[in-house]
Amino acid sequence: MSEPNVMISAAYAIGAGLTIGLGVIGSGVGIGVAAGKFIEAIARQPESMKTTRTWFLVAYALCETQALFAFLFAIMLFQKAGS
Amino acid sequence: MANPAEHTASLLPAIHLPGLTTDQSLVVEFTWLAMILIIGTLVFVISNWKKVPGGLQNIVELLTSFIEDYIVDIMGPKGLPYFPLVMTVLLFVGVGNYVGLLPGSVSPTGNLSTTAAWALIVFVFYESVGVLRHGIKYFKHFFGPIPIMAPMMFVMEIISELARPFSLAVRLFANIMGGEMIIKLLFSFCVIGLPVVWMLWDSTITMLIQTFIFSLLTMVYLGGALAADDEH
Repeated sequence: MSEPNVMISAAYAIGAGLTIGLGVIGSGVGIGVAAGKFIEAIARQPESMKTTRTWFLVAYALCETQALFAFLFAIMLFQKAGS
Repeated sequence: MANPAEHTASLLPAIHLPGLTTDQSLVVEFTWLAMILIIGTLVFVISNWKKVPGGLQNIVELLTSFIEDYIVDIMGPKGLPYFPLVMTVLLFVGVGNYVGLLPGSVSPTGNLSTTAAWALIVFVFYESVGVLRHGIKYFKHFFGPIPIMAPMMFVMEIISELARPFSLAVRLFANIMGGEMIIKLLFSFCVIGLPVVWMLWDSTITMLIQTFIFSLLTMVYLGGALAADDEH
């Protein structure tokens, strides 16, 4: 009787894991590229640190958002798995 | 694992506000605490204003000049009238984040309603600044530079414009709530040591950067609304 419900819960849990696991790949690569270029820029021109830092933080925030959306959806799926 | 808000409610004599559940009342109470901290500190500093600063006044002056420099960097001198908004956002988000570190408390900014309210304030504010400054011409930048592509550009620009307050709200909320959830998780592993290490990391890196990014994006969006006609 409870067999289909267990399967559906398991599917929700697997989906939650996949969501956060796959979702952070892109933003990890994005922040990595941004940080690498940022260090490259301040190594080449140390005096540009102040303006570069501002825009690095903006880029960091924009890349990070994707991972946070994945996190949010993963939590929503996980709560469904528990119920 | 129990609901974090229920867990904290057991530590505190919970005050039930009429019409709200326990965890909603907790968020509202800690929002009040953050507001009292900000207003009390500022009133105290300003009533004891000295020519030679010392103690708290140093911190307030440092923060003020730091934000002023950033505004001039990003928006130019014409952005200085909007200093109060940026400073309010910075103070509330910062203090709201750090209030969550008190034992048995919740961050007001770890609640989607709070962050959505702030994001909507910022969104409505910079859109109105754009409209008041440029009139109907402000909407011209929604259509892009090429007339033939205007319908497609309009849809894309509207979507990206509406994504701004959404991502602003979700970014702060998810960061702070994620940090709180990890604290609760580590508390269930071990009570001493490990959670404090994470709280140290969370408070020095995540909260500081999120506070800064929220006000930085406020400045960037305001700067974009101020300079909407410079590109055409």
